[in-house]
Amino acid sequence: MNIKAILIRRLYVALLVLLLGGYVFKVSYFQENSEAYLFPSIVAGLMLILSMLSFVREVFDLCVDDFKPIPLIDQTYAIIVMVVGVSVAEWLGMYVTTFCILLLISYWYSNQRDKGRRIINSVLFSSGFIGFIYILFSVTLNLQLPKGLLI
Amino acid sequence: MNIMREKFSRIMLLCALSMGLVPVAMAEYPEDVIRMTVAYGPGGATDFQARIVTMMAAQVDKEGNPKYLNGQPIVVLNRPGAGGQVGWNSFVQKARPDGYELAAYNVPHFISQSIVFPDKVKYNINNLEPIANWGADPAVLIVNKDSPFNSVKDVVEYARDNPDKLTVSGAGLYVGHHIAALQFDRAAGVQTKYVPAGGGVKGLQFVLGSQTMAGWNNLSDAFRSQDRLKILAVADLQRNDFLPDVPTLKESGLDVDDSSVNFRGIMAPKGTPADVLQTLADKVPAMFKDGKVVKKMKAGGSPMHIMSREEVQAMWKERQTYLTDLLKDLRK
Amino acid sequence: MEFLHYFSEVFTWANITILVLGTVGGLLLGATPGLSPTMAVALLIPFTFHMEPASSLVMLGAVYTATVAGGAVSGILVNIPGAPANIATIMDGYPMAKQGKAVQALHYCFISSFVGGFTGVLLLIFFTPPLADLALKFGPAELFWISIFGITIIASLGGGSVVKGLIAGTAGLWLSTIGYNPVLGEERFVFSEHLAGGIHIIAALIGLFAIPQVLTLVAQSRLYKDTLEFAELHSHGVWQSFIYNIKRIRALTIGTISGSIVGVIPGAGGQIAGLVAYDQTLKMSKDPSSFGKGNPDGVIAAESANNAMVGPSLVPLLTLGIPGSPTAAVLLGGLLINGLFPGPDLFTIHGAVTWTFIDSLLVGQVLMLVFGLLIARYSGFVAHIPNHTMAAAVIVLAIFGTYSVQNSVSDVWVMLALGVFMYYASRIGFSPAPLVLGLILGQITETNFLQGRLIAGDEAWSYFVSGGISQIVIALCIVSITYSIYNERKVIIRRREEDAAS
Repeated sequence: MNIKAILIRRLYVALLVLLLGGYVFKVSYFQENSEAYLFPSIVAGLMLILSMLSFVREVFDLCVDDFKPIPLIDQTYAIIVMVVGVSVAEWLGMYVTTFCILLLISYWYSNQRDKGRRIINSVLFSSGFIGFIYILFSVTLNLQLPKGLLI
Repeated sequence: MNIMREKFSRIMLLCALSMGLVPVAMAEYPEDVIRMTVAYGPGGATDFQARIVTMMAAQVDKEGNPKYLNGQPIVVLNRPGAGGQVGWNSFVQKARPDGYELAAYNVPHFISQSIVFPDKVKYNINNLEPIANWGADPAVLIVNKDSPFNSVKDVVEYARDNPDKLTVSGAGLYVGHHIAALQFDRAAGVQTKYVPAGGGVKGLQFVLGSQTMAGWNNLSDAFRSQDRLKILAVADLQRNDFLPDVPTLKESGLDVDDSSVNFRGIMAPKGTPADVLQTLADKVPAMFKDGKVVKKMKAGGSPMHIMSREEVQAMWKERQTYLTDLLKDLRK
Repeated sequence: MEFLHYFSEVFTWANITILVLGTVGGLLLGATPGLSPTMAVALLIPFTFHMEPASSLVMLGAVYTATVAGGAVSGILVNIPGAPANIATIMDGYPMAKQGKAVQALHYCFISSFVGGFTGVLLLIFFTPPLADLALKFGPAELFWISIFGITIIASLGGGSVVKGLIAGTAGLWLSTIGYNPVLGEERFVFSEHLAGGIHIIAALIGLFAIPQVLTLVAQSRLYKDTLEFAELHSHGVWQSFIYNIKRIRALTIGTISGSIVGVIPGAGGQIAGLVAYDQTLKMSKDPSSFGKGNPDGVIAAESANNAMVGPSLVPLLTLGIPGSPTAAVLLGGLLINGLFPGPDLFTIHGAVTWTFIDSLLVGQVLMLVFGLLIARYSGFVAHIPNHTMAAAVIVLAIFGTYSVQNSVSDVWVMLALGVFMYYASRIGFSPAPLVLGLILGQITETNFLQGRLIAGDEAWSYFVSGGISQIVIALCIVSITYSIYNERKVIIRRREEDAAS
């Protein structure tokens, strides 16, 4: 990436942070019960000032470049699996859903080329780990989980 | 339909597990662990007492016959936040009325919250069913050992001469301590400044460290710190067995009754089947009276006050009426 | 010398068995990402119902000591602090592990924990009465300034840019105000029902550290790399570590002293002991820029502070019934259940139980060191766990760990949301440590600020700035801020010189 592109990306980020600071200040400051919102308003004010400062510094290029590349596509699958898993956890049962999460993540991200081995490895690991979780949380710590359709 | 399916799947599962050896349909309530939500964090007085009074639930006698609840334990789940509002809100919204999900209540806390925040709070005495009461912890008026105040009279006089200057601490907003402070103000015709400390022990700390001039606190907590405190009065109808020398506020000349007493007990969501409620109402008080429970509660300095379901129902109604009147100026 | 008398009580078979089990169990629970010391102690209270008073306290004490130290293990090896107290440990602990020095880092961690913890318990034994009086001096004004001092630490935690660190810190402070106003009872910023109870600090901690780590792991495994890029593991003798560790006397002393002081202050919570020590060590170091890149001093200071906090945090608990940390609050329940009321009686009438408990804490420190060093020996295998397996395991531990804090799926949602957000924020230069510190300190700052205003009425200004302790802390705040500004300027000037040179 050339220098100009990096600079522009950093400016966008600083602008985003500034907008966020502005929004936080807006919801904190313009409230009826001022005493209850006093502390959040002070904090949001500080945040707004700091994000302005950061923006100004980006404009004049006074910052250390601390950006790392964002590999968007690689994580999307993991994020979807987690979100879907948690949203059905209460309904289906914690153990079933977490077992599925374990299986899917360890299968998808495995670098084993052979499909059969990949499946066997994932199933073995997931069953073993879910057993460990069961012993740790349900047996040792007596954690009560939501009663789902299955377990 | 949903419930049917769920029951079916659970029965299937049980059958599979027990290989059909146990006749599932014959079992009587309770046949599973009972969960009890406590709306305060671990380590607090309510949590600590809730754990003691339920510890004998699964007890069996010498022949192995279940003593109280069919040998099933009651498990405490902490769901703290916003002075109990988070736990109780999620309880009335999510708990299944099947007798397996119970909660611990604190009166006057939940009743006064339902009066002051009618929009935010989803619970009130009409959508909850009391089961039994285990404890009653009156509020006491405390001052630091080095304080110039030696009696309720001294406090009232100071407050009268310096309106809005006398700072008093308490556990939180609209809890028993706050009710006691409001009643005190009304009876003495003064204006004190109530500082919610965020927890009973924290309120005690404010008095111990002289951060506030006086404080309202739990009798059980103040009782333990007597070497650094003066307990001036009890906000109850009669003197307490733990502190026979401390007068009631009435004896000290202030017309304050027992409305601020912190009652603790167990409740179920509305819609729980009548026979299940009956079973619980019969067996839970007996469980509270278990010798081991009584011994541990006494050792922990927690006053017990066991009340039946009917008594609690009457107490809730009476508090509702009184608190509505007391808090009508504070309604938001 | 009463405490010497009761040592024999600790060395009964029953108590030694409990101590060993409690220590090993505590280390393992602490090392599991998502299980905090408070949780571990709370979960053990029911077990104590049917035990002798002395034995049950011995067990709770052993677990408390061990979980605090154990939390560093997952921090150093996987970059996920086991408890808020271990945030400072990972700043240099994880970079050390990446350089192949995981074993050394763990050695330093346990040796420093032992030194700090042992000193802390000795303070508890010898200085309880004066420390108790000191603890009572901390009212809303003093605690307000302490938390402001904590906020000034944020500047040293940013990693890269100080301004970005401060923005993350204020964002954390603001997030902590979501939910219920602690003093006035007003509900704020509840954009979704999952936020009704506010953001729980453990849920935030797990989310902010574990989820970005998971996403980093999976991104790397898609590049068909087997494990994270760890350098070849250096083997390192225990004695070598001991000698090196003792030589780093400055970090060790700073850690122990700051930990002990923070421990006594009720409500400040041991959560910030490690961070305060880390910050002080960094500022007094000759080479501040080496911190965050695997400087052993960071680990030594943070861990000695964490464990030094344990003993003094019991002082207000045992004498006044006021817990100095969230875990001590749970221990209070353990005391009461056995009919032991905090106060002078505890050391006289119930002396046999109390002194046995305190002595067992000393023995517990030794056991923690022994078993901790054993764990360090076998830690190498963590570096060999394939990325996809590690990622899947951490996700599930994060879900269960978060759920178990308050039995709430809402917390799991908050954890996930914060985690995913943090991953992207960390790619553009924000780091999670200041955010978590803001979350921890926000509630303390706001509560004491509002309570102070209520108590002081019209004279709020003079209330906050009068008082010896307040003034000392205010001076500390000013020094801390000045240093940060000076340091930031130095960094920018150096960068300009480099630019000019190239």
